[in-house]
Amino acid sequence: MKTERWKDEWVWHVLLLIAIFVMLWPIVFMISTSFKDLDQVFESTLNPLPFPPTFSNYTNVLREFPLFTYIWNTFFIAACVTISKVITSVMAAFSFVYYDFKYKETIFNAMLLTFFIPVTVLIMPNYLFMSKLGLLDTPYGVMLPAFADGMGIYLMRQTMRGIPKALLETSVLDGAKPHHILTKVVIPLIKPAIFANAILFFINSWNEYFWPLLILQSNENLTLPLALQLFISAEGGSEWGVAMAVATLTSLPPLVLYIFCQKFIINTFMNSGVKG
Amino acid sequence: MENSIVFSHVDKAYGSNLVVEDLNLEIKKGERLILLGPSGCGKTTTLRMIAGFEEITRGELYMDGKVVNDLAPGERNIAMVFQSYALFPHLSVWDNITFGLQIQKLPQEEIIKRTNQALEILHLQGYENKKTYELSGGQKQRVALCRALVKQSPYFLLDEPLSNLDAKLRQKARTELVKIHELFKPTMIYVTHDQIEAMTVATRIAVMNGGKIQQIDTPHNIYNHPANTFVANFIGSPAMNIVKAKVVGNKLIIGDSCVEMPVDKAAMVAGRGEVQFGLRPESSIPKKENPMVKGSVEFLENTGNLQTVSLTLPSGELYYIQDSNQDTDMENIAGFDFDWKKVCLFDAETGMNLEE
Repeated sequence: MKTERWKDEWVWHVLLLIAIFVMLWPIVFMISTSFKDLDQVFESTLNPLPFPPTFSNYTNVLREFPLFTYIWNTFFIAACVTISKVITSVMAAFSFVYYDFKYKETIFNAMLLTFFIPVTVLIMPNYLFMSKLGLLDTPYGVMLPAFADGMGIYLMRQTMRGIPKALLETSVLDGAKPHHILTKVVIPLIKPAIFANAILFFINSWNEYFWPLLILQSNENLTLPLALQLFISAEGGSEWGVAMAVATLTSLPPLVLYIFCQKFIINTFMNSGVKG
Repeated sequence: MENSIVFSHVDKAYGSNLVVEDLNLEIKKGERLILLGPSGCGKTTTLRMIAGFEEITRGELYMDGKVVNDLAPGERNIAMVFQSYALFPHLSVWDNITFGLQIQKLPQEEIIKRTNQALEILHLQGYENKKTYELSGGQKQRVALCRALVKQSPYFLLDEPLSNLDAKLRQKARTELVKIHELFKPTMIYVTHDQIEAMTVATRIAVMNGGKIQQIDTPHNIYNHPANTFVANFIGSPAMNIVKAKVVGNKLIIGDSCVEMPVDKAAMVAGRGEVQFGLRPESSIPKKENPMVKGSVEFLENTGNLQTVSLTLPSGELYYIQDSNQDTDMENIAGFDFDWKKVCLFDAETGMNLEE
């Protein structure tokens, strides 16, 4: 049986291995380069194993680079965005599911349409708006346009629709007001889904590059993905080793977060993704 | 009028689809009224109109003498047990039961007193801290009942509360339900499609079909004096035998047997050419020789306590006879006798009982 399965499926396995390799190669290189000095970087471009490995890049980063300022900047924005997105998604989804109001379907569909508007289209108006508000070069300018999220609302709505109606009816009969239902019934029941969404919001915001690049100018305000480029375009030679050390450090927090919460995220999206 | 529920000419429509039509029903204080009918007959919709989950399209619903058409469900002071039990999976048994009381901000001592009393009545002590997914079906059902009980509301609605239990548990839960009702005497409305449940629990049964009430009466009268052939067919297992019969003077021809009618029955069918003859299987007395109505045995079923035989009448119609005597030689009977007092006669077209 086992060998027969291999006969049928080996093509897929080979393709999957290739896909995994393609996806992992840049990450392997990022990590290995972070352990190379500048000479090693250029002498053996395709060798992923630095010999001898050097930790000087990391010590350099920690000594000369305000790493913790950047971590704080990034974290502050990501945390605010996550909290705000969770609140707006849950509350909007709740009203879409449990209230009947005029043009409900229209409003919901309009919100769905926002998925299909390319980010680049929104950049000009958002930039002008932030500039009018005087929020250029501040973390608030980065956060504000990200305070609500159509996808988040959609996913929360799908999850809430899965709650049996009788649970809500019984709470209504017990005299529960909407805020009771939201806080005592709905939120506890969909906690795993909220958690999973929050992690995704956080990781997305943490990795965001383009929008912060437009808004933030001063060095001390930069987020980690932006701070990376300081090493690449620096006058004359790019410090690849140091840049990769920072990149490795940058990708650690979301990675750790994901590994710890992997089960949550996969379960939630399997259950709530498309099911009506 | 205190704690009574009255439907006055109530219609419920979804778009152009009328699911409850001209409903007139008075549920008296402290009675156990059962809404009985096949699925889709409008019984659950009726219950949900009382709870306030379904808007009333036309007509008035009175509770305690006041029109409540527009009163929110939470303000009707109703306790309800759902078919799915609707227990909160994230809460313990105790928190499930006290959920409503906590929201209404009752004093803690009162909550503890009521809950402990209800837990005792339903034999749920020791389960307070369990999560609901740790409970068996029967325990879940009792927790749901307990949660309704602690509200001490004057109205008790039950939507097929026992349908998720196995047969044995259902019988136990049935008696338990009646006992609990006797203890507090709330006005109870109970929806079921199970006729045994209806017969054993109800003080009155309202049989519904196609959005209309067919008959409201005591279980005894529903069983013995069905208002029409639908009720006669719906109640009893096997159902009441209903066969065509020709009227000739003061005689009735059933199959090819001619039977003389007593005076009262003859008066009932006077002027009619054809009626429907209805008789319960257990009221038909099996006969080996010279039966009042002849038929040939088709099939015999013995369930230990009962023998059920199906006869074919000369007219081709099927007829069931039930006998609780194991010694009767049912296989070789030639037909049956009957007592005219047990016979129901229905109109040949409308199916209405001719008694009234």
